[in-house]
Parts: sequence; C-alpha cells; structure tokens
Amino acid sequence: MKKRALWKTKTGRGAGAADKGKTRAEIRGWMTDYLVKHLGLGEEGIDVERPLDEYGIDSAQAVRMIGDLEDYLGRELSPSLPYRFPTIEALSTHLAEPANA
Amino acid sequence: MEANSQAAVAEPERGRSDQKVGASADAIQFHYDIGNDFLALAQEAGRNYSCAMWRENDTHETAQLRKLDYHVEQIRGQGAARVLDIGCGWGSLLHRLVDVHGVRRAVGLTLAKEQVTFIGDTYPDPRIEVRLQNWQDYAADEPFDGIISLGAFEHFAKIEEDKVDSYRVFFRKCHEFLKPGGRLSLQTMGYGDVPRERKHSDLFIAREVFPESDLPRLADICLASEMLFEIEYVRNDRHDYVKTMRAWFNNLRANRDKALKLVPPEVVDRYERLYRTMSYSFDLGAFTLYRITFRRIDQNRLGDGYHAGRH
Repeated sequence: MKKRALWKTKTGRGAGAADKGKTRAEIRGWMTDYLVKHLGLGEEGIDVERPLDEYGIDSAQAVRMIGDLEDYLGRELSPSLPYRFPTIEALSTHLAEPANA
Repeated sequence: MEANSQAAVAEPERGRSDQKVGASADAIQFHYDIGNDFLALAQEAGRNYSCAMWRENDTHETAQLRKLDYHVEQIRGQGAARVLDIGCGWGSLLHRLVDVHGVRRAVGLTLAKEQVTFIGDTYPDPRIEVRLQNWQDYAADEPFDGIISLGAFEHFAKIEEDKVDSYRVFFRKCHEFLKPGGRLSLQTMGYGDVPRERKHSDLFIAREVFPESDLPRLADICLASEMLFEIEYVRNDRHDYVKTMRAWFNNLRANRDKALKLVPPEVVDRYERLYRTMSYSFDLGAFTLYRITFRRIDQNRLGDGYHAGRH
C-alpha cells in the first residue's frame, strides 16, 4: 500500500494526452458554481477572498464539497483542506500549484 | 460426515422490540440485505465488512486476514474448542477460525438472512454453526473459550437509548457466554473529537444507511464493562479505516456499471458518499476505530462485599 503523505495530493491520471490538471481559474470557477448551487446565492454574492465558514458552510458540507472536488480533479484530497485553505482563492491556488497538479 | 455447515435458523425474537437494546432485525437488514451482490461490489474477496489491519505491501485481502488473525490471537483462539463470533457477517472469520486456527466449533450470530444463506453456501464445514439470532436471545448450550465481535457493536445501542445501559447488557451476556478467564476481542468504530452535546452533524449516516445505530464512546465502553471485564488492551487504529473505507469507495466506483444493474443510481451514489465521507471522518479524527481486548472477571478473593461478574 503506497504511503500517501497527508499534505500532498497524488497526481491524477487525466483523460487528455497532456493533462496538467485544472488551472486555478477553472477550480475557482468550479467552487463558485458549487457554492451558488448549494447556497442559492447569485454569483455576485460570492467573494473568493471570503472565508468559507462565513457563508454558513459547516464541516460536513465542506467535507462533502471536498468529495465532489475529488471527482472534478480526478485525485484524492485531504479533508483538512477547507480548514487549511479557507477561501475559494486560497484553495484553488493550492490545488492548482504545479507541485500539486 | 456432514458437508453442510449448520445454519440453525433459530427463530429471531419478533416480539416487542422495545424489550431489546440496539438495532432491530429490520434495521440491520435495511443495510445488509440491500443485496448480497451489491455490497460484494465494494468488498474484497473475503467479504469482510469491517476495518482491515494494514501493513506495508498489503493487499486489501491480506490486510483483512491480518485483522482476523489479530483478533484470534487476542482471544488465544488457536486450537480452541469453542469460539463465538457476534455479528458474523459473511462468515470469513468463522471460516478462518476452523480452517487455519484449528478451532473445533465456531458459532456465528447474525440478524441478516442473506448472510446465513451465503455462509451455508460458501463454507460448508460442520464445525461452523451460524444462527439467525440476536445475541440477547442466544442461550449457549456450552460456554465459549473466546468471543470475537467485529464491526457489530455500533449496532448495539440506538441513538436515543442510554448507551451505557445497553452496552452493559452486551457485556453481561458475553460474561455469561464465556468460560472463566475467557476473552472478548472487540472491534468497533467510535466517536473521537466530536463533543458529546453535538452528534456528528452528518446524521445522513444514521438516517439513510444505518438506521437506529450510533457510535460508542470509549469512556462509555469502559464504564459499561466495569466489574464484568478487565480491559487488557486498547488500540485506536483509525488510519486503518481511512484506507479501508477508501478501498470500498474505489471498488464500488470501479464497479459502477455492475452496481447500476442492481440498484438505482441514487443508491450507488449514497453508498459511494458514505464510504468516502467516512474515510474523511477517520482521517480527521472525528471517528476512531477501537480494538479492545477484554478478559472475563471472576471472583478470586474473599469478602470485600462484592461479587465480580455479577453486576
């Protein structure tokens, strides 16, 4: 069983020939859409620098989002990410970094 | 020599369920009888539906066997005359006990009809006896050398019940089932860093997948077993469950096409979500995985005004 270091994510295997993983903008867009869908806000209501828990998202919802984000990105993620990177901007930046792509 | 295992279908007590603690037979069957074939798509070859014990280079299969052997070792089960498996699932432990550990009689209790059938078909061995019976109703004809219970304790107390009282019923029965000095090796999920006042907010687990069941807390297990059992050893192996839940998730995901032939998409999604969410919960420490070795307490000194084992 390969050890998975808690703070890193495995490289996903994408469908494309030269898949570099999703960009920060794509991930930011996905998260914004996700919050809009689950919070019923308009997109203008979403501030990418605003801490997620100020939207009233609790730990269960955040963890559920991480699950869906795994499916979007095609790789395993740590459930502590929403706590360590608590804004859309921080999380999308972290997930799009070359080291984590 | 009989080829078939004795599937003693003892009539489950369908009397008033308010007399019993823990999940009812109907509630148990809600999850486990969704279809042998469906759950098999998530499970590994041995159909062990509890947390494995992972070491370097293990496959899921070998990690599950390592777990079984650990518990057999804890109860000193090698070559034992009689071992009881409370919540025997799909029978892999029963089989392991007689096949590898030389146990002469392995008795399994379950409330899931499909499991009884499966065990009868899969492990035809006269040393194995499986009973469709609640442990609260079981009256063993002879005491056991050891008891193992894996991933069943979570069902022994309902959410609204006084859990310590319910668990105490279990420990009293186990005390009764055992020979003096006999051991119980228990494996159960538990609550970790979730405050007592707040239930784990994802009650979706209790509502949709495991009705009537809630997780124990270590303190309550300890309290409930006082004066009945000596706690010899406690381990919290929650990282094993991170991997095990993830393995079930991955298997089910990989078998999605087959799964959709058996159940609706919402059900496949629900189980996928369950496995992955639970993997996260173990990773975060909200849930724990206890492996506890208990030894039956018997009176061994004069007076003192108490009777060990009779509380």
